[in-house]
Amino acid sequence: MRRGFSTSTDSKISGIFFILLLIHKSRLLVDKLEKILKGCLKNDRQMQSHFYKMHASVMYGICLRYSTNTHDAQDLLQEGFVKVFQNLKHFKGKGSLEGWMKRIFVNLALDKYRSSVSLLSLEDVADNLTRDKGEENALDAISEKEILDMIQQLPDQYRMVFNLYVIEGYSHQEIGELLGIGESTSRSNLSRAKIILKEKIQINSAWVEKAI
Amino acid sequence: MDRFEKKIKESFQGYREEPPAELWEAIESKLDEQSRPGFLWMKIAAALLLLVVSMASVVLFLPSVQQGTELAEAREAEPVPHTGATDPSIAQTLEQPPREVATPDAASSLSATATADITSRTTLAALQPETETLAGDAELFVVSETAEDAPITHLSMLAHNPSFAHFELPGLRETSLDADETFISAILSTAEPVLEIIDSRAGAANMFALTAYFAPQHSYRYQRNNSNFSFGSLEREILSFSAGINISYRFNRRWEVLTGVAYNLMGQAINDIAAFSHPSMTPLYSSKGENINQHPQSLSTSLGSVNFTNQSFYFADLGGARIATLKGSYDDTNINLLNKSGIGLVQHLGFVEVPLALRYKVIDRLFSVWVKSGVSANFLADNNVYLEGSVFNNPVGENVGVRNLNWAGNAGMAVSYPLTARMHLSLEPTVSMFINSVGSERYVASDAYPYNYSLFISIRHDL
Repeated sequence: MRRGFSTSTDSKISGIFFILLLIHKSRLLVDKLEKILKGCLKNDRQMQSHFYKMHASVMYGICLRYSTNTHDAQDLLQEGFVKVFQNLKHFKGKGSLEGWMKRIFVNLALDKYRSSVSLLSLEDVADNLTRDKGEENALDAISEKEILDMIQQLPDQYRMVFNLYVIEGYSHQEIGELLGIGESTSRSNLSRAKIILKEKIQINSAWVEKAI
Repeated sequence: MDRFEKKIKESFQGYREEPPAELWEAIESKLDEQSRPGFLWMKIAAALLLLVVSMASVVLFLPSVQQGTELAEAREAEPVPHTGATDPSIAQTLEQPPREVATPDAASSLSATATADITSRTTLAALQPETETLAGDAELFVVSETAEDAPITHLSMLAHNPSFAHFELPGLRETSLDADETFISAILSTAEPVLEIIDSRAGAANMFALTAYFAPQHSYRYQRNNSNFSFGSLEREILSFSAGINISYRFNRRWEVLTGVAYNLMGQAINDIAAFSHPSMTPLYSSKGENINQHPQSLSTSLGSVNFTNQSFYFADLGGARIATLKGSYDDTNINLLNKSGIGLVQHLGFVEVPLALRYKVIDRLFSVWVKSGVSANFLADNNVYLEGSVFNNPVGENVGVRNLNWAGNAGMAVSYPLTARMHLSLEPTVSMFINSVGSERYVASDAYPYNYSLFISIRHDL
């Protein structure tokens, strides 16, 4: 007498149910996203609030990377979301929504600093820093928040280039066009940014070792 | 991308941090503001509209009531000898028809008395836009009749240009032109109300005016030919004043000439000169035990030398080598026993000024705008040098070689507002400058031309 299904069948059925559930949840999510987007386009504050909650933490991380302090980062976040809601109707669905939003925030950050920042290459203030190959291990020992603090402490022009190249993935040519600097300036700014960060990371890890 | 960069990228690829909760409210309020399209522009437009309306009501309404009432009262109090419409009261006007004008049918209505309430004023063009006139150069003062009065049929107005004799108004029958071409009489043939004379003789009768003024001013000097020595930052401007009275004569409604007398204080401040004195302020200089008559120090300035007169002070130059000290004929004082009394000196040159200027009225409305230009003779009256901080108190020296008679040119503008029929308040930004070098000494090979930027605050009374 058969007592129910076999184990392999159970797992297959479970798997199918799981997939169906996943699909269902995905569809629900997509429906929900569509509903939220439509609501945002109609200036429905509740929908805009949901949209904000979905994306605020990622965008805030970007704002923190481009700003020197949390106050500026919060200003940037506010302006960025206002601009996102104003221009949502222009989003054609090409590429991801998050990627589109990231570009808005990055461009806003660049606009903010472009007028007040000299984006020429600084003098060689970091060339005499030691370049220790142990910085990669030290990197594992510190948190993203601490790295973020170090990035915020970089001179504006180094910080812009570092963010655009390393995290956003722009080429030096593209960075040069964005910031109105030469390609070689972009390269040297990046190189100096890295040297400064590595120096800070090493100092931080030395302190950590001492503390331990 | 090297390993360091890759690690950083991986760390921040999905980096998230929650922003403060209150940020959404700030975003929401910004969205609310922007969701009202053109809200900011609407606010600006409303504010501008309010400003324009309030200014227009002040310009159009209040002054005509005030001025007309004042002028009507003035006319009643001081009858102006003229025919027709310039008589103090309407009754007299109506009983005395203007020259060269016949008033047949309207005569009965002319005998009525009327008190006039001036309700508005308008230009000729507004009253009769199709008429070929030189609008803007004459003003009508419109009167509303009271219920029990007969309509006033007599029109007069101020005419700035004789060509106004050729205008026409609906119902207007005849006009006449006053001998001095500043006054036009006209009669309406109908019972159209609303025309009244407003002191049309003002331009002809009030030829003289007396003005009293006070002018705070910024006073300094222009140093020409400073190639040998520029005093530059060693000297600076001072705040001073002038005050006086002028009498003016008006040729016509636009032009007038004025003269008068004033006290004009000019000068400059000298930087970095330290003054030392004994605590008991005893004289510091003696020759063989006896006081000497002359202070042994003098100071070079762009206005010429300064001879110190107050022997209680010893002066030292902290900024250069401008002080000369005679030695040999007196006992030097021991500077270590002295206290520093202060740093900086002020040179004052007070002149009695007699101006001669022409004024031209550019705008003749509620606010009149004039431009003026002229020359003045400046007679030296005061010549003192003070310690900064003790100005007008106990001079320490005097300027040497200042010319007794100096000539200055001046130019400016005036904006005046009528306080009453005969009194006006004016603000007159003016610039004046000596056209001769004030110092007769030439040893520093520099010519100094004092100048002022003044703001005349004046009250003018038409005589």
